[in-house]
Amino acid sequence: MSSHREAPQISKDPVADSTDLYAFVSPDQPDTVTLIANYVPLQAPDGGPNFYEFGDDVLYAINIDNDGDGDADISFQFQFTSRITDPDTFLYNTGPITSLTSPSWNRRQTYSVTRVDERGSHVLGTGIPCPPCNIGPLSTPDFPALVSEAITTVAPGTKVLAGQRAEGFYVDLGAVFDLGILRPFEQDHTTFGLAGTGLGTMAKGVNSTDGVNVHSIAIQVPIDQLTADGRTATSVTDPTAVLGVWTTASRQKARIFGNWPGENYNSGPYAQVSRLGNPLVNEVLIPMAAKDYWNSLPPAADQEFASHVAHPELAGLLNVLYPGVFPHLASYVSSGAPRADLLAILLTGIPAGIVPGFQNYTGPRQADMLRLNVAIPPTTTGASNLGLVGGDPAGFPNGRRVFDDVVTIELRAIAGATLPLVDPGYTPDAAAGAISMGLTSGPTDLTAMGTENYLSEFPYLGTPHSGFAVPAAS
Amino acid sequence: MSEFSRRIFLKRGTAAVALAGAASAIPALPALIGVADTQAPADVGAAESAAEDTGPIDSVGGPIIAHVRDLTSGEIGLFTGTDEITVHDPQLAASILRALR
Repeated sequence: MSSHREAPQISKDPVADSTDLYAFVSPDQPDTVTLIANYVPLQAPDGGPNFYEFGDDVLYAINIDNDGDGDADISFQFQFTSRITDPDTFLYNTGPITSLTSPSWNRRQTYSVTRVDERGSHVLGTGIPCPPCNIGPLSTPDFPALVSEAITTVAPGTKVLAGQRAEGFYVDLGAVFDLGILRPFEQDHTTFGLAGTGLGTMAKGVNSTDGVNVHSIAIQVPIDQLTADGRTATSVTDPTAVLGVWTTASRQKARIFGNWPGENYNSGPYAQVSRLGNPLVNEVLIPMAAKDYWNSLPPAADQEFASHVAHPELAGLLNVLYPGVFPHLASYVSSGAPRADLLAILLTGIPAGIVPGFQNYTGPRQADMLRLNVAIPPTTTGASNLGLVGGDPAGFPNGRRVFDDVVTIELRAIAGATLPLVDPGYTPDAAAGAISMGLTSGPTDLTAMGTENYLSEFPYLGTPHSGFAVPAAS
Repeated sequence: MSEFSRRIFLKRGTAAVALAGAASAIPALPALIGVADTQAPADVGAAESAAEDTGPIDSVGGPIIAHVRDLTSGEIGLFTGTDEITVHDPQLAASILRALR
């Protein structure tokens, strides 16, 4: 998936496992940027009585590079504290949770927000409450009201929310990880000569994340508090207009289990165990043996992995899995030429002059970051879930909005649809522009299966699915 | 953890000591922290001397975890709070190994 369970070690540590990262100019507050980092993947909404929460022993961060060197210039750090109010009950709550101070809510979490920049470390807020998980009509009868109560302004123009949200990412995971099946094109799959697979007819996609929740850390910050020169660029070509964004999770290096009743002891400096910038980079481009190593590094170190972007394994596999469907791509892969389009999109940003009226170039340093040009206004009508390749420059890979169909965009890019940006003589295969997960009806469909509940305001990701309404078995 | 080292651990109460491949708590450890805090090279003699100057273990502000990375070179990582220091003390490493047997 985007980055859910993408590496062998982090897949065993869900509370520290970053799943998706979003960065976009807020459509309803265009002088601000909204940054959302998701963790704790694939939550069954009915997973009680110990419903999901952040890790008290994890240091979460959303990092911003505003000078193109792949290192953080600003980091918003989040640390959580859990508390049990009634030690004598096994229940998460003993009655309806009608407010964040409800005495019937037994397991609560609060957090601190700290901004770290060149001027030092500044605590923006402490003891900020998370809302509970969305349990059901009796336990959380007015969940949106709890979220409204939890949204906290920590500085002028800066607000935060940390807690459960509906998963907004969509992908047909069951198909794509079964040797690259794309249900809308399964009739073209090689099927390895197997008979009786049930494949062979065009089918709609299935959203694997339909009905699951995730935990989001969302912060909305004035643009002029993120840029290198402290102003809001208005020209798309202004180099200071582009921000690089990524999220990290870190754990202390040493841990002792079982020496204190019911808790562990952590010690030492924090070591990074999870990282996420562009969707699917670690998931799809980095070899499995290197994924956890990649997670431990800063974006500034990504030149080491550039060959995996320049020569993506998946580009070669497409022609094997779909024989004859991608002949132009197959020739290009055989030539050994590096994929300069992917290197630009994912590791440096797209320089000016490639796409008319657009750039999100941060310089030659190769670093996996979401690159957001804040001078490009949000698209409030006619947005395309295909972002820039759909003619909508406010979307991925210009940052990432919650509804962007990043799987389709990146599949098409890897299949060669974006190669003409750097090689005008290359003609993409017809299939490269048609690849789809089959989860939307088209580029203007912003309501993929299970994601119909995006919000038009902060925190933009929808109200989490209630455990009562969406049991895991369904 | 051997019974011997477990007894020492419990007696100390707040001191956690873990090793990769071998672990123990030893009397010289709090002193070693004092040495390491000043970036001094580590040897048993220096550690014992520093013990007289550094006061009780509580002065480091919390439990300590030691990670003996290499018994031969005596490379030991010490963790407390959000700090990590590395000392090289073959004799200390040997003492820890003896405590485990």
